[in-house]
Amino acid sequence: MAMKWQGKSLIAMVILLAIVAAGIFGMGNTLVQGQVVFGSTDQVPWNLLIVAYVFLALMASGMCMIASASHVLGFKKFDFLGKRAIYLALAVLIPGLLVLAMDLGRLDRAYLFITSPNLQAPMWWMGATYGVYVVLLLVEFIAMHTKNEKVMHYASYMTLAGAVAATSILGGIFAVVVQRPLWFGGATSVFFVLSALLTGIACLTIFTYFTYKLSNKKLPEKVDAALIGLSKLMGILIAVALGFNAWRLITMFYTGTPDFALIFNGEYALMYWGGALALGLIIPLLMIIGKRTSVVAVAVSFLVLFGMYFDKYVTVIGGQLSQPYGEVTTYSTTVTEWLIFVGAMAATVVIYMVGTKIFNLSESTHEEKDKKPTKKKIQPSAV
Amino acid sequence: MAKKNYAMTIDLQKCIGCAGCSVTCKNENNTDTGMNWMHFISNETGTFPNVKYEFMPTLCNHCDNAPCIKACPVTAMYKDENGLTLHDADKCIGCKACMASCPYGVISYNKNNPHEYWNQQEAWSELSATPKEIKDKVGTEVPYYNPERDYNYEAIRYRGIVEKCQLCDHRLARDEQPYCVERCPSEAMYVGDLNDPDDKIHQFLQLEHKTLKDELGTKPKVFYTRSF
Repeated sequence: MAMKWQGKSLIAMVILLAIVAAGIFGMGNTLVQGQVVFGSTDQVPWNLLIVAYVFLALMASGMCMIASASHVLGFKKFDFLGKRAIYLALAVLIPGLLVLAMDLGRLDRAYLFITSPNLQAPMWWMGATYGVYVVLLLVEFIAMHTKNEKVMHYASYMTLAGAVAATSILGGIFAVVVQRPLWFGGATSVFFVLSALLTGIACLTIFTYFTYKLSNKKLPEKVDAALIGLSKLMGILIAVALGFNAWRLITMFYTGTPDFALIFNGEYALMYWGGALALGLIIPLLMIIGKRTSVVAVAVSFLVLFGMYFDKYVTVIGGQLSQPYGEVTTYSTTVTEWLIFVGAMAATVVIYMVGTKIFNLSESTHEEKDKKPTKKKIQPSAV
Repeated sequence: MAKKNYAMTIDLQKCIGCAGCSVTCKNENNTDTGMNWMHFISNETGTFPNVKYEFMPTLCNHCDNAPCIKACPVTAMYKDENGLTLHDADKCIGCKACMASCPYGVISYNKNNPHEYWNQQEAWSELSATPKEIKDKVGTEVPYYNPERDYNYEAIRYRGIVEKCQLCDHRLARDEQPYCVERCPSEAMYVGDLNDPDDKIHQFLQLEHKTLKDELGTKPKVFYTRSF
């Protein structure tokens, strides 16, 4: 199929490609100069790239969970979003994995994950599950595209399990570190799954809305209904996330650690209270309670994404600032870190835009259980 | 022959706080500026004349339940047959999981190749040689290079991997004490075999002793005796 880029989409593509190029420059810079271009130190070994990876990987898993759950659990309302969600999950995850790769000092030794595995290490399990999970996502997407119902059916069970496993194991990398109160505990892993769902729904809402909005004058009714449905789901998840944060604060209050002071009234308090809680959870919840339209759903989605970025920044970076013998250190991001992060996000949009031209992402994929004798065709009007 | 289980004792009442251990460690292990396998915590409290000064040498605790070993995805951190927690430079992928999980902050990362200073072509003055000229004249990677470290670990590590105290396993292998122990002017430190009932370490451990952050369950093997 010929790809036509005209008008706004051409301009958008050019801008996005420029940002991707800046990201590639950042990556090249890292490979040539080494990690001196990062703000990480011996005291704060993990930098913005880890925040970015966690943020993007969770988002991808969340979209996969929605897509697969709508098939496995029969949410017919979201059925038509399945193919788009799986494609988007790939479009988010692949740049995300590249971001993570940039933080490896010896990327050329990545094969040691296979030849010298440590089954005790959550990071090994994370690598293994994400590796398998990417393949499963590809299989599911190909099955959706070729309308292979049988493969699609089994693949959605496996990707759902894979998404939950990969996400919680990613949380496990942090959850097992006993001396870091912002990381430690099984709740971290569970919250990662919840964050994945929240960011996944937010990302899917934004991309779906703008895909239709930029190509149609009026949003089709089923899309409108689906986005409102997703925002309701988001409302429930936000309420649970608020509960998690409340208990995190309460339990940390009793520890009296510098980590608690850091987020309660210290250096990261504004980012935590203002960014992660107010902007990312409380305001979106009030908006959803107040009015439920697709426009509100999109606005809420943007806020949730910002909020979850702050949440992950506070968790990953803030969790490392408290040092072994009482002192609290600082960390600053660098331009290169930002170039790689923003470049990866731009790459996601580029991959998605190209995908909308090549694949029909609007089609419903799960018709087999429908009662209608003939196959329901949904017009690919959106893209 | 029975397996050894090495541990260290540091007598805090003998320690004079000279940080000689930290300096000699750099000599023995060719570590770069800012990278300390052996370091110290110092703490001043109170106001004059009622002041208190504490000094504790710190290094890798070679924990029996080492979080770095559990966190390393590629087994680059491992326990050797003598109970030491060691790092395999050839396996390290530079993911820094060990650093994030170590409760003692004793693992360092090479953001760049170490000792870049000795490649500089600029001299302090026109009368002095450049660092590069000195290096070339001596014919080693750094003028104070210790080739012995090369026995069972990279003599000088390189960009993209972590590094940490190996408890001078190259010296222990020939029944010598680690260099920090050997060079301590007040003989405050000792490394011995916990599995050998005749080892002197058991005498030192008769004294009041503690380990750092043992409440975390890491089972550290650097014992601080006779604290103030």
